[in-house]
Amino acid sequence: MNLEVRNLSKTYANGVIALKNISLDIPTGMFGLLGPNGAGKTTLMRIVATLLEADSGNIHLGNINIRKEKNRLKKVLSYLPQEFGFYPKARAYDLLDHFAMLKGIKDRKNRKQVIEHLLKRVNLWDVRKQKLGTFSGGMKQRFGIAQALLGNPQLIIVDEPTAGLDPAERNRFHNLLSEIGEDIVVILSTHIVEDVSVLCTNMAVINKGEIVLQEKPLNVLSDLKGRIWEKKIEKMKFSDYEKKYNVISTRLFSGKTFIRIYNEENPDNGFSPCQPALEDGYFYHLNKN
Amino acid sequence: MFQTIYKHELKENIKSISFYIFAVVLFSIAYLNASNTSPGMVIIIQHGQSLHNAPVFIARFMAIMSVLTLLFTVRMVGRSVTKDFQANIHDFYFTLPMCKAAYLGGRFFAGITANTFIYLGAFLGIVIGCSVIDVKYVGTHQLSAYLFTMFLILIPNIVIIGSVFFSLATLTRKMISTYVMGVALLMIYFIVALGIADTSHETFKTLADPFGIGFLEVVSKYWTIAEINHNLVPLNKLIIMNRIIWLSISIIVLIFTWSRFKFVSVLEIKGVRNNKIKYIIILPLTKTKNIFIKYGSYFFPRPKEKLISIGKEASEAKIVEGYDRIPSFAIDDSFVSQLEKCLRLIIIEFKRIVFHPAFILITIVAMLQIYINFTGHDVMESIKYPITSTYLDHVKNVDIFLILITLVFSGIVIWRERDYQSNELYDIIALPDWMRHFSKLVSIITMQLSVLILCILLGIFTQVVIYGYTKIELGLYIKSLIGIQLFRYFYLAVLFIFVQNLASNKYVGYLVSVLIMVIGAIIPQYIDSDISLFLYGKLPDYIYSNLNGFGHFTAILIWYQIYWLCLACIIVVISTILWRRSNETSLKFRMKNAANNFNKKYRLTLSVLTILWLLAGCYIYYNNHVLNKYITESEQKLKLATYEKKYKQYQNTPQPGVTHVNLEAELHPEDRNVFIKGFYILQNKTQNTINEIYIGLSDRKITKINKFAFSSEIELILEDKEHWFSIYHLQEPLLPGAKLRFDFDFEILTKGFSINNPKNELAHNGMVITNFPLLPPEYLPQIGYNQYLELSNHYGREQYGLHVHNHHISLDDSIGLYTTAFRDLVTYEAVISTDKSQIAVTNGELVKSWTENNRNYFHYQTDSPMNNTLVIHSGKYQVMKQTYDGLNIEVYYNKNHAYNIHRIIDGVKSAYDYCSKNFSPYTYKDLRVVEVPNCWAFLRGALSTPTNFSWSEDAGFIDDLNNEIAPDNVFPIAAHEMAHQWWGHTVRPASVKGAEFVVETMAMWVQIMCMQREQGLEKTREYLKYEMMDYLRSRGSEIIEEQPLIYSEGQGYLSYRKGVVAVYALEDYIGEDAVNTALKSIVGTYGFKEAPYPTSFDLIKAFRSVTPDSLRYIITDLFETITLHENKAESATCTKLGNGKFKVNLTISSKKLRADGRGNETEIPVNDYMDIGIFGENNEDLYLKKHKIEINRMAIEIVVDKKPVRAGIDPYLILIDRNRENNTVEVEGI
Repeated sequence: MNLEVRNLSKTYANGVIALKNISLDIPTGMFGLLGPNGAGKTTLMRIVATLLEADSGNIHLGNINIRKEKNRLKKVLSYLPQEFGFYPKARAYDLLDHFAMLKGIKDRKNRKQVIEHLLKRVNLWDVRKQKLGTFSGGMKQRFGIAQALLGNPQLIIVDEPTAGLDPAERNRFHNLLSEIGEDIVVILSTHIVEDVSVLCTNMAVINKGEIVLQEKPLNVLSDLKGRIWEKKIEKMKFSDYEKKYNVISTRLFSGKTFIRIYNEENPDNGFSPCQPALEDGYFYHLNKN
Repeated sequence: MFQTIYKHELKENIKSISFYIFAVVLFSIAYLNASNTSPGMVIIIQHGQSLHNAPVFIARFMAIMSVLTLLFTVRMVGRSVTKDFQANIHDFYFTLPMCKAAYLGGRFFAGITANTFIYLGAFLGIVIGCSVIDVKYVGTHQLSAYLFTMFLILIPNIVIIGSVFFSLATLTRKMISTYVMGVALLMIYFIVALGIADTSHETFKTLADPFGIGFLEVVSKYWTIAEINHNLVPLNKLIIMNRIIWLSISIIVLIFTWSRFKFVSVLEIKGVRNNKIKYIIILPLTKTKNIFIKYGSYFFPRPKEKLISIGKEASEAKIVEGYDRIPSFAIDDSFVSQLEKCLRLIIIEFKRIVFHPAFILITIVAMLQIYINFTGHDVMESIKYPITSTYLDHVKNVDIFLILITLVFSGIVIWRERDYQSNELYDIIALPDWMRHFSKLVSIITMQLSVLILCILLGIFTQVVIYGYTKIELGLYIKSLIGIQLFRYFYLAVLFIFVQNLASNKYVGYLVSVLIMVIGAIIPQYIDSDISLFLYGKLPDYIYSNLNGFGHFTAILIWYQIYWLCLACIIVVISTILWRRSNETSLKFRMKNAANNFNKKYRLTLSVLTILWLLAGCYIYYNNHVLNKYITESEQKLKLATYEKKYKQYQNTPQPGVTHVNLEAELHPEDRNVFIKGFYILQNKTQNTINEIYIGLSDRKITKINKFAFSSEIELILEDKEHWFSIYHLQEPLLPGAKLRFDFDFEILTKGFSINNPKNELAHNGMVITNFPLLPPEYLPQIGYNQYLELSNHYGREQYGLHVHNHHISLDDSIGLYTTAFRDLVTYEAVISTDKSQIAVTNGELVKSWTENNRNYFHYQTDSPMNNTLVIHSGKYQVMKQTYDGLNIEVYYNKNHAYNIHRIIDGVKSAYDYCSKNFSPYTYKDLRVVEVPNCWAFLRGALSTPTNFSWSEDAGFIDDLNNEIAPDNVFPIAAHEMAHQWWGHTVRPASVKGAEFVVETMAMWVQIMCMQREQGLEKTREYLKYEMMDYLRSRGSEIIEEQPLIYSEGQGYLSYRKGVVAVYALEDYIGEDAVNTALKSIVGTYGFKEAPYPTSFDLIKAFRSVTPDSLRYIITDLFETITLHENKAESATCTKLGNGKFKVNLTISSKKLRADGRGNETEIPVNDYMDIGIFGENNEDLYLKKHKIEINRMAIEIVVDKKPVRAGIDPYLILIDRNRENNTVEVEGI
């Protein structure tokens, strides 16, 4: 079951154009949606999750017309919003039970099994009787994932899940996501390139409401092969280099400035070739437009 | 540092929008209050005849406003630190180099200053409000009055309120709970204030009230209008003490806050658990321990719940691998499953509501208030049996609480997901559109239901456990609280949820909801037509009677319920369609979306509901306006005014008197219809010939007139149905002494129901029909112009182009002397039939009763003439009969109200003995007491007619007399009403000023004498004490002018309260026998006589004739003037004499004051006989004698046999004296 986005546009009431005629094909498996802050990722996610109304365009999940058959989609949809909270006095187990019930898992024994499985899986089983108000950020995020795995989702949307997580939590989160079956559509929206390179088999880059790249990460890397060069430079000379080369990124290391450029051939001038990373592709395509 | 923070904060406060809104609100209320000259309307305080800018009013107004608008202070002062937490910028402030005191102090005092500025708006409102009204309402503005109010009332109040809520908000860092606490404390204050309002301990009352309202009440308690107008509020020790006490408390609270406050980002977990402080500071404040611990947990957190720190958790984090796939599960999408989900949502929401501290707190306060009101009683008020209907009256107190929690929780519930940011999680779950809205609505209704069930349980518990009363009327509980009240709250819940659903945020929702409520409460006062179908959720007024049940109110209630229920359901459907179910929350989008989703199901539901709603509305309108006539208040006033304008010219035209009344009345209580046939014999009792006869009969109750006929040729020359007036011209004039028969036949039919003219007196059980002259001529025709229908000044005669007049006519008015409110003396005969299950009662002697055609017939007759003030009753009555000294006493009562029948009979017997012995024998053979249902709103107590009295079920039938604390009010009422058989029905006063002195004061005289015989001297004195206090207190709220007793006009506080004190004093001076000799001569001269009728002057003349010359001044003091005494015992010392006796040296002071009608007093010389008393152990009377006091200060030497304890002047308060406590002093020496 693929997710097809066709000619989707959205302009907010205050005049901000969030999406400009976007089309995307998202196959099953993990799909990474990359983009800087304010690129329109969350808007797109929310439209797909029925939480926002598009001005024009179509979205289909298999044979479900999402804009028209919201309730049909909701039956197979899971969504982990970018920011969310829970009633702080509710206890983890009770609230998950509550959601399970609402999602239609009616049989009590069955529900108990599922909840136990999920809570163990997100490593919250020991704190299941604690109030959600006392959870740390990572625990809350994991609880969110457990909630998202409930039901029988065909489409899982995860919006910037790792923002604000420490490396260990992020790692654990990646593991959880990677276990989600490959026969359903999982959209992971993020501005962290590493998340995508670790998890996703397909990806798209969105910027200023437009898709600037849609490709498999492996292809992105292979396209860049031999075209990324790096050099340590004086900070003051940066503008010279910027004029002369297609600078993708700069980074500081031990107080020195390193720049990476895209060049089809060896630019010489002290540049050394280097292994392309997904990040290079991301920046390359962002800057290209 | 402090200065910087203070200045910045003050600027911020003054820039805020709420600053201006609050100031405008206060200004408007003050303006409306000060400029309100309509006597019927009270905005905050009633001005009566006093100046609107009287110093004590300004002080009281501001004191009350500071409490009523407590939430303004909570907002301005309470929020001054918490807003940093809300805006999440506290960390920036907390990392600045400043000290706690400067930060907290700067914020606090800036809040106080800004708040004080806000209240300047109210001062301005008073000044401007006073400037727009007639100068006669306004005195010179006294600066000192404003300064006093500002610095001794307002600012301290703001500091007191501000400090408490500042501390609460700052320490808990939560604003919403602080607002809720604000409201709760306000409620608690009102309850406590009510509780201490009755205490006679005035020092306590003054000190216990943190806002100075109690103080202002105590000090101006007995102020007359003149004193109110000119006196500044005295700056005495008590108010200073009060302010010191309460300001110290605020300082302690502030210091506590300062010491507990920490510049930390998040509240510390391992805070010091200082139980001592908690118990000292928190608990005594409230006594609702549990709730406070709940609240307290924010700053005294329970240690067992550990907050898991992020670091610790991270270090434990393991990479989880190799888990199996999620166990398979079945998704159940059936309808049953949906219902189960809905139930689940309801339960979880309901649980969250009922465990919310605000809910618990408010519910406890509500239950306490109901309980205290139900079990408590005022001094001198009787205790009622704990019957269910009485309890339900008290449950009405739950109203404000239930409305409040419905309002609060509608907001909380609707916004819950959004407030906790879990809305997106819920919004993507596949639930039917209606379910989220419906579950929230039902959870609110379940909460309302549970509060009402709690009320029922509390009632049953109190009845059974506290009182041991076991006649539980569960059906009545359910009908009243669930069947009527729950629906009302449901309508509100629907409305509030609808508003919250549309509102852009919770607070806008609250504001709009409150505005709707306020507008709904204000509008009816300004709109003078039937808007009952437009006041959302408003049910018609109804009265539950233990005799009549819900009676005829049932139909009207059910129809309005259907009407509102349909409308509420329509709103529910609309609310569902417009439900906020995605991030597209703009109303425009939701409307568009709704239009798309408006499917067949919705369309069908909405149209069915709308049709039902409109049908119900039409049916109600048809009943109110087509079947019955709707007359607005102003139309009614206009009618009365027109009546007077058009027909007053006929007032002096001679009219025949009625000499005989014959009635044949057919009562149908089951369908509330009455058929009356009968005739009057009219006689020309004047010296002139009569050419025209004026007949008055209202169309308000009479549906159809079948016959109006005279025994001689007569021509109808004017028929004004609108104003109840017809003129008949006699072809042959009626000569003096000649008679004429006037026949009538008409029908009173009840059609459907009417909100405007419900005819409550036509009850299914306990029907009452009267022909009193004080009411429009509703049930029997009246002859001539009826002066008692004239509009009183109070209802705005001027507005209707009528000259201002005194309601009563001056004592030498020639027409007045020849009319009496008790009307002609008539002989009376009536055959009354009623339903088989009922008994009919009227005046006179029952000569025969029989059953025919399944109906009961009663034939009453009297040969001795009686006043033409008649009453007909019909009801399912039990009858208690007793014969006493030839008198046939009968009490007709409801079978459940048998408690006090013997006391009624005792009272009747006592007054019968007293009056027949002292005045004249009783004229009739019978005396009947009939219980009437309380839905006859005309009657609040008991009312005497010849041979009968009608007695409201609430006024004594259910009093519990088996206790020592409360007085017996049944016996006195019975004696009083019996006395009216002489004073009113034998001696019939002229319709001039002071008529009520002849009727009511003399009935009070008999009553107090009977009470003294029955209950002893001590209880009588106690009773008189409260009557005197009542009189003194009522003087200040006089709306026209206080009159000397014998000129009293419609002033109950004079004819009853002052009257009984004055006649008792007269008795003290000249003796009971002398008083009765005088009264006997009046009865002898005027009993059953036609004009001229006696006046209060005749009584005074009679009193004077039995009073020795030396004491005659007392008659002037008590009856003919307003005289007050200020007696005081200065000191008393005692020396033991050789012969075992004791010599008391008593110094007394005495002042005598004359007051005019507005209370301006002038001192006059003392030259009076007054009691000097000396009391021994256990209040034993050692000496009590009248001494002549001729100078203001006097030393008296008295020798007594036993050891004296107290001594003083006028110790039993025979004379009217405002300061009763200082009349005696302790005897010193020995």
